[in-house]
Amino acid sequence: MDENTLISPEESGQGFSRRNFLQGALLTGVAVAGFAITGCAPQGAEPTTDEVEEVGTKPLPLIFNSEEYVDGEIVDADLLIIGSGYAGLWALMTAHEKGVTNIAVMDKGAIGHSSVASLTLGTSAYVLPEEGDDLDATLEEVVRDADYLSRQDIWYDMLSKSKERFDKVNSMGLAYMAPGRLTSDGNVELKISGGTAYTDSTGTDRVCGKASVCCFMDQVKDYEDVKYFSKTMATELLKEGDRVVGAVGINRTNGNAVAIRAKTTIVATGQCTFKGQHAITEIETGDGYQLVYDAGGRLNNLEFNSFDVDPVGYMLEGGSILCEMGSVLENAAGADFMWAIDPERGSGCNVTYSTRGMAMEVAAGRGPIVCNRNTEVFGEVGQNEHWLPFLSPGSWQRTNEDRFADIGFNLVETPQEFTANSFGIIGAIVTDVNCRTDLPGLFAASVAVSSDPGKIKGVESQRGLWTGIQAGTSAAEYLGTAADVTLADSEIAAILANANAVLGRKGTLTANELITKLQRQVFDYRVGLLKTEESLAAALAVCRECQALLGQVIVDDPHELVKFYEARNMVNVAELHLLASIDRKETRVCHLRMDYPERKDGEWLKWIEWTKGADGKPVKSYRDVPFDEYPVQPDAAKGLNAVVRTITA
Amino acid sequence: MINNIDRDKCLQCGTCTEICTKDVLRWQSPENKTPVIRYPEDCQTCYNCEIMCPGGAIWVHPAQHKVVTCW
Repeated sequence: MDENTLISPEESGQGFSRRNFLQGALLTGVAVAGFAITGCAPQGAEPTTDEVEEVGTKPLPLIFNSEEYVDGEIVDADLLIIGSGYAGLWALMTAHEKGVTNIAVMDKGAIGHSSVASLTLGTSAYVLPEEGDDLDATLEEVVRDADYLSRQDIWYDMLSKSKERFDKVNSMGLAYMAPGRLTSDGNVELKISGGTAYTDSTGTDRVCGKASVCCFMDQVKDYEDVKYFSKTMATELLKEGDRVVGAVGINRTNGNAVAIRAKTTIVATGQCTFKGQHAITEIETGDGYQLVYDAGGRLNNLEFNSFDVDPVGYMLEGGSILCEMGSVLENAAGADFMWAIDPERGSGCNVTYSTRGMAMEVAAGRGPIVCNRNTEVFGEVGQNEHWLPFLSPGSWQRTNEDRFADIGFNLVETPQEFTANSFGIIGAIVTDVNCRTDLPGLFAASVAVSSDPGKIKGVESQRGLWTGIQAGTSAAEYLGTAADVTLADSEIAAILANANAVLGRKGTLTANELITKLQRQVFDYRVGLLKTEESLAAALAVCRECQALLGQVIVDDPHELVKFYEARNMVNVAELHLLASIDRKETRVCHLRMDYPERKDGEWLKWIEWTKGADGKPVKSYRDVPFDEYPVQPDAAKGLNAVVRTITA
Repeated sequence: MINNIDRDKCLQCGTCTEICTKDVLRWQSPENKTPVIRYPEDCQTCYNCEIMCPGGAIWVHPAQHKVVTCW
């Protein structure tokens, strides 16, 4: 496609008529207009450009303009927040409420709008005792379903305070569209409030993740002492002895490097999905893990990685939920094979099992796998109110499904081939219950904070809110006694110069080519789902080839410079993931070792932790789960223990 | 993947370029914020640009361009 051509549908030659295009645009436009409060004028926020007239069906969205900086500039702040999704925004809110001023917020994308959180359904899990939720029972179920490797201190604090956050978001004007009890994985019954709705300060009705992010952005938009550095990727934390004192970042449009010298820093950058194939998580490339690891912090649970189900060639957030609602996974012979994997729930089981079962069928030669949504059960359940959040007009989920209809891809009437798509690493940065890392001045937030190796629906957003509050509070407390930063400009200058020094490198392969080479390993079902010593070792060898190739990546413009750093981060996290997978010789939660299919509580109720050695190589250590401090004790007879059935032809 | 930008509807507000999570779009120039699809191979089909475009000028095709599959 000619990058300089704006093409209308007729000119595209792609078979989409102008009528179809208009229908598509009209569908979105009408849906939004239908949702809007009629006659509503923009409130508060100004357009991003003075000269643009307000025409069309929607006002300009609220966008936080970035500070402009020259290459090598140093900016001083009291607090630096890296990442501006739910957690970053709540850290900002919390720190500001506690009196912190002179705050810098850095994000690889746009502030708020580029976050994974902004593109999700917006569901969030709460424990509401006044509505009959039992905190102790919920905690026990959550811990059990993570096979007892949870940080129970984090979970207890997060769940016990969730009512406060529920009340707070309500007071902000954020409404949950489908309140009610949904079982997240068939066992845990958190009160999951599905989908959100909010009318933002521009007068636009938002839904799902967009509603949540726009609501949070409205809370902070009038803060006068905050500087935003959007399209700026953090590449290295600054240190003064053991203390973290800010970060260096690079602009992905002009390649300029900037240093934020800060008394305290919060890393809120999400997970590592290896530019995963499930949902819209390609922005999560393990950036925070690399930053903290390089600075001397700890990571753990990196052996745990998850997959979800999607139609081949497309994405569908909620595919596993569709199975819970009655859709059926079938093999090439039309058999509903999941009953052999999970006799109680079949295709409606935890997605850990369904993706595992799909892989086993393929390994046994009985693929491809289709998802049959045209079942009597789905026909009933699919119409009930619990499905509504997934169909909210203006959400990417609804837009995506409407677009399926536009192009004639029918998921309901025609069983479509499905595959398992990687959702990335569940493990993350080790902190205490107040989101403090091992390093003075450094805090972590978002799902970049390690809480457990499981994946419970609706909890990621809750982890975002909770960690944001914890990190913001802890950072504010730290600032109360923190010494001034004395790291000199001259010391920072060398780091700044190094950040974009590779810009212009010729190289032998693109970042995308290197990332694809890595993905062929970590996404392969024999490495990601049905792990063996042999497959993991082979993948590790290729991963190390990728590490060696980093110096050959072509960096011909700032866009490619950011992708080079993303590749660096992913390759290094992959190495730790594969090493950890090799090391844990048992099966637990989503980590299935085909050569060690049993869960071994006697030996493996411990976390595998990683730090960077003096020689730059990973250093592994173990930490026992402190059950003497935790309320829930392990039960070998319970949990999401793998039910591995070798399927023979 | 982002497929079409209707120049008749484009407001040149810069919203799509600013919020794209993968830096796929760039302005034609600082003075002309008409977007160009500069890095189409990096589009993750999140519909962010389409949903947030005030003019309804963008159309995203749902097909993914994923190179690597699980099996």
